[in-house]
Amino acid sequence: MDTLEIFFEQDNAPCRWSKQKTNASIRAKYQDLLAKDKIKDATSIRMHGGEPFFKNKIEKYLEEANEQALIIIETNGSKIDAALIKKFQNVVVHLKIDAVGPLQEYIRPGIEWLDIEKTISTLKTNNIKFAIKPCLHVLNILSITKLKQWCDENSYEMIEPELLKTPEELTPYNLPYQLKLRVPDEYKQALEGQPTADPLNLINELDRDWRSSVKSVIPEWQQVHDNLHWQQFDDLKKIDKDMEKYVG
Amino acid sequence: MLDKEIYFKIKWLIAKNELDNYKKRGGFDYQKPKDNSIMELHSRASGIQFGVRAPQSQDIIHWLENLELNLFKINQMDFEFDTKLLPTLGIAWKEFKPYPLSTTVHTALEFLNIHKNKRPVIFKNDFWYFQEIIDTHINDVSDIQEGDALILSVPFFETFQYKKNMDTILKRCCELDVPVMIDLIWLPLSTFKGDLKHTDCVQVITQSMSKVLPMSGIKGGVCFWRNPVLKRFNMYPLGNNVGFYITKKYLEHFGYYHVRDSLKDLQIKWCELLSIDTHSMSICGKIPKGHFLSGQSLHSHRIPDSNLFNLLPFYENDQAITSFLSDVDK
Repeated sequence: MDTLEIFFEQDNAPCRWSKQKTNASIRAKYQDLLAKDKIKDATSIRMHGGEPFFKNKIEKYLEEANEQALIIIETNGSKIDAALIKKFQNVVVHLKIDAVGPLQEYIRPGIEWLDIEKTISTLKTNNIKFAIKPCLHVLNILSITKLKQWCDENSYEMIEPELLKTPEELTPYNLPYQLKLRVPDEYKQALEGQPTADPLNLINELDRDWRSSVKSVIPEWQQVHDNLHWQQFDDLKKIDKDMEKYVG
Repeated sequence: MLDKEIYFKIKWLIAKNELDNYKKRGGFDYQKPKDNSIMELHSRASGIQFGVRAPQSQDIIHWLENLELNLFKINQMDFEFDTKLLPTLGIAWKEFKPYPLSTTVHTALEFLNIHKNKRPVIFKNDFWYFQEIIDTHINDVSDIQEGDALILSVPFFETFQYKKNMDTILKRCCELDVPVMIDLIWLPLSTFKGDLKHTDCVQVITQSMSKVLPMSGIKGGVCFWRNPVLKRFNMYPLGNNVGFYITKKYLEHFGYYHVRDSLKDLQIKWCELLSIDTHSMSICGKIPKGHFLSGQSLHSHRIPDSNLFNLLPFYENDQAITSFLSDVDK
């Protein structure tokens, strides 16, 4: 069974590392033309983020889709139009949630955890099937079992996390060595491979852009800041101490 | 003589001072370390030389802290502005109408909107924000074409001096009917003198004060639009009265070149200590070839071969750095 893949580019609450797109991609430009021909006959349709419900872009596709088709909708969980999707008998919503509570809010600025809970409540009320679909990266690998636990406690299905590919700095195997021991055993496999990039500078830069601090959300990262693997780290600590008396 | 190692320690000290004392940091987030971690201090120290903001001398800070602002009256203030408070510049000021400046960039956007049928152009290496919003970066005066609209900083951002062929540029713009926006933001800090010629092509002149006074978060200054102005400028002025008021008060109280002149001794002192050359821009020195500061230019992240050195942090941390250096010499 071929699946018709439909991609949405815009997102009301993109992940903190997403970059602003100023032009629509070639794929987005021609997607409508391609999808229009196929959507009526498609038996399986997968809607990828961006965010399908942002500006209600999903509507024009669902209007054309066959009600018997299997429809998988990926969403960040900030908003859902249950009336629009519940007419489909085989619809599954994949909630792209990487963590629980404040950490999720940190990873995806623009959505409050409460909004996600409301969305889940709406899905349950309308008997719409859903699953939690996390992505694994350096910001959630230490606490991914908490997400699993939250899913288990609430009887939510959690799909096995995919590994984040871009930006490369945030892929799990680039987790700073100071934190690797803290990764839950069942996810240690994700650390395999040689580190290819240092996540710290990017995280710091993103923190500055988002006016936030990784240390306040994931206290374990304090350990990275306190034990930088820079060659000259001890020299810098000495300079810092030496300069203290001239401050003012 | 200072070397790279001492220079790095000085930058570290400056970063620590920015964190410790709000009077030693700029108005924007990135102009100070976020916290006292080695990583943050290193990140800030590594970039201390980049960009320039307004000098924050004691007298100006004191004046700003004590300036009486009747916001109700300022809201209703008229836009009268005595152009005698500005240098002559060769501009026929009476041909222009003064308005409170919103921001230089916003004025540029308004200028480009008025000329939306023209091709916006700037010279290569002009103010980085102009580069962000304008696609055509020209190298030579002959690249200016009929149907262009030119924005130009005077003194020019890359060198902080007038462009050498300034007369030719404006003459060509007059001949081709190319409207010009002139950005004077750096002029109050420059000793460079000289009247402009062929200014008939100039349609708008912006004089932001945010590089003279620490008001980058407030914005403002004065701008002059050539008469007759668009009706909407009077119906719904978009400028910032608070910044306009502060500008007028500063010029009346201190004079156009006060900040520049007050930095003269510090410029000489630090150019000598760093073994670099003085520059007509009071907050800069020129890095000689082969000097250990090569690559530490305030433009180095955008203009790799620039030799302009940012002396501002040395002025503002004069006592602390001097104290450190005297211990180094012992």
